[in-house]
This record gives sequence, structure tokens and C-alpha cells, in this order.
Amino acid sequence: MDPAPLKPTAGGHRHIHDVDGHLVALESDLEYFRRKRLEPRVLFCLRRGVISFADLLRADDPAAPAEPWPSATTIEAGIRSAEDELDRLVRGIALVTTGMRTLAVSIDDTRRERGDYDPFFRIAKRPHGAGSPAERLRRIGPELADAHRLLAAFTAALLAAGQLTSEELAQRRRVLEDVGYRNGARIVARAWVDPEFKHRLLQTGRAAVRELDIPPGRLGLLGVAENTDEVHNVVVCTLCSCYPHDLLGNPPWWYRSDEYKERIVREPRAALAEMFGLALAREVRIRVHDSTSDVRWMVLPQRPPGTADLTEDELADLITPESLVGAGLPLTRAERSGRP
Amino acid sequence: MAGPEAAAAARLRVGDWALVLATSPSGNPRTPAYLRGRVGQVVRSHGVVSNPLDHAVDYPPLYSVVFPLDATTEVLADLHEEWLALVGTPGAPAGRPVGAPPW
Repeated sequence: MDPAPLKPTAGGHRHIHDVDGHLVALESDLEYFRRKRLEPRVLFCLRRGVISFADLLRADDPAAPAEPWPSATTIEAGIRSAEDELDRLVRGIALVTTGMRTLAVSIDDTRRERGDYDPFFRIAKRPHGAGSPAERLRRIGPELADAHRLLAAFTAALLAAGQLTSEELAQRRRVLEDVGYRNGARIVARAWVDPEFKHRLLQTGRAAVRELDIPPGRLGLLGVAENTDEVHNVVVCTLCSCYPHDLLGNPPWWYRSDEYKERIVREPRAALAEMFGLALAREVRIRVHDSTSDVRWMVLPQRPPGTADLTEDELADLITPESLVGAGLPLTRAERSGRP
Repeated sequence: MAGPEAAAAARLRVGDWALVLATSPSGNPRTPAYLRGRVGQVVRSHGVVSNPLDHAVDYPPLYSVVFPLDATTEVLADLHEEWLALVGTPGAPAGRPVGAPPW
């Protein structure tokens, strides 16, 4: 089993304390997005004759570098540029795989394509994680560039086949830039300060988030599980990785890890304590929501004590991606002020 | 069975106890394997969820069903009706151990 703790390392612009955690996240996410999002969709289009292998070859431009790979002087700088490149890859994949002209792709098609429901067809994960941080980073760079190159060829082939237009791509890129866990943070903060909004949110899910000018998305229902003194909610998707990603962006990388999926539905209390350092009192009941794509769950965490005078925006700053799936609690005021 | 017909056939109610079947007749794959053969309690009824971005055809009505793991932990899963057999009502609970973990 992976020795690296799944402890969250997200946080954007903080100093990187946990190099190994960042590398594990990079390796896992890169593997996931190219093997489970990009390649199955290329296969999907090939199988259905939307494009051919020859189209892909013709569209490939070996001369065009994905993006100049900066000559990083430190491990930390290398990790940051790899993370930026990975973000760009993930957004690029999302751009080209919705809204094709002649072919409607539903998510379940991709799940079947990558063999989620049948171990025989399941696309294998490649092993990773060996070597020193510098070696791992040196491996990630070219692999990211390769994934970008495939994505670029795939995108160009779809454009050439008339399945997409560059205007549509530009339009979609703008929309995607606004999707992220920050939407979840705003939803939670509003629910903390406005009990009537909270009631509508719990009852109607997606419909309520329009009040915050957040596009509600269309991936099934939004389930909102409210934490109380008695119940702590956790979200997982053991079948694939269902998540309200059209609303909250992509989930933290460990959400897709087998270790999390297997342990959290077997021994949630121990899994939360050991994988995330979240030790809940014995008397707090734990309810694990195993998503089944038609209801995509987010957790409404409890408002931390001592935050009565904070504004809605300040409250939103307390929310972490982990707290939105119940693998962590919102930051306390002291923790928040310790961050830049 | 899909769409309005399925909605009309919604037959479980909140509080009912349901057994998760081993296989689904229509082949809808979205029920975790570890829950099959277990009994849980329906806590919410969602009706037919139209979700064309996820699956082109509507699945039968959807329920949130809770399965106890131990005294203080539980799993809630959202399951379609074709996977569920009614085995007890709120007044007459299931006549077998509820949610006995298979592991």
C-alpha cells in the first residue's frame, strides 16, 4: 500500500511542506486523467467512426511543444509547473469531450468504455512512485507532455472532422474556469448565514444554487448531506468516482484512490482517523454516502465555533475541498489566519 | 422499464426494508457489488431521475437506502428500484438480520 498519507495537501499558494504528498497527487491525477478520461474518449470516437487513427496521425504536430516546460531550479518550482500543466490538461480534456456535433456522449458510455463495470475490460493503472523526488518529477514532465500531445491531436482531429468549432471551445473554456470547489465554499457559507437558503438547498439541491449565480449543472440531482452534532457525513463513489464536478470541479485526487473507496465503506471511523487524521467522537454517527451518479453528494459541514462575527466571504475561506466530502472539517479561525 | 411507466410503478416507501438483489434484470450496473444480498431501510424516495448526460435512457425510480455497518456507522446508497425487493414495512420489519456485513 502507498506509504504516503492521504492528508490533504491542497492549498494553492502555500509553501510546499509535503513534497511526497504533492508528487503522489500529481502521479495519481495524471494517471487518472489520461487513462480514464482522455484515452477512453479517444477510443470512444475511434470505435464509432467519428475520427480514425489516420485522422489522429494527420492532426499530430510533433513540432509543437505542449507548452515550454520550464527548467525548474528547485523541486518545489518543478512541482508547481507540473501542477499547472496538469490543470491545463484536465481542463483541455473536459473541453473536447462534451457537445460533439453528431455524437452525444453520456458519462455512462465513458464508464463502459474504460471498463468500470467489468474487471476484464477495466483499463489498468500503471504503477508509479518509485525513486527520489527529482527522478519522479523528471518522469512526470515528459509523460505530461505526451498526454498534452495526444490531447492536441485529438482536439485538432475533432475540429477537422467538424465535430467542434474553435468558437465553441473558447466559450466552454470560459465556463470551465469558473467551476471549482470555491463554488462549494460559497454554497456552504450562504447556508451557514441564511437558514432559509439552507432549507431550500437541502430540499431542492441544484435549484437553490442559482441564488448564488452559480450555474447549477445538469448531472443528476445534487444531494446535500448536513453534518450535525449527531451525524457526520462522508462521500465516496465506489463504482467510479461520481462527484458533482460540474458544480464543484474535480474532487481531491485521493477520492479516486482504491484505498479510500475500499476502506471508507468498510471501516469509516478508522479510515477517517488513519487516512485523514480526523478522529470523531464515538457518539457521532458516521454515514457514508456511496454515490450512484443520479444523486451526487456534497457535505454541508458544521460551522466552526468562534466564527459568529465573520462575513460570508470570510466563512467561505474556511472551507477546504476535503470538508466538502466529509474527509476533513472546515478550518478554524486560527488555522485560517495561519495561512497566507 | 423506463420513464413514466417506471415512475408509475414506484412501489417502495420511506421506512420500508428492502433486499438488494444479486443481479438486475435490465443490466443497469449502478449498484455496488458489496451491497448485493443485503437488507437496508429506505430513507428517501427520489422518483425517476432524468439524467441524460449520465445515461441516455431513464432508469427506474431511485431510493436512498441505509445499511448499518456497526452500531455507530452506516452506508447510504442510492439504488434503483429494479435492484430492490420489498422485505418489510415500517410496522413489520424484515424477518432477518438487517444489513449484516458480508465481510
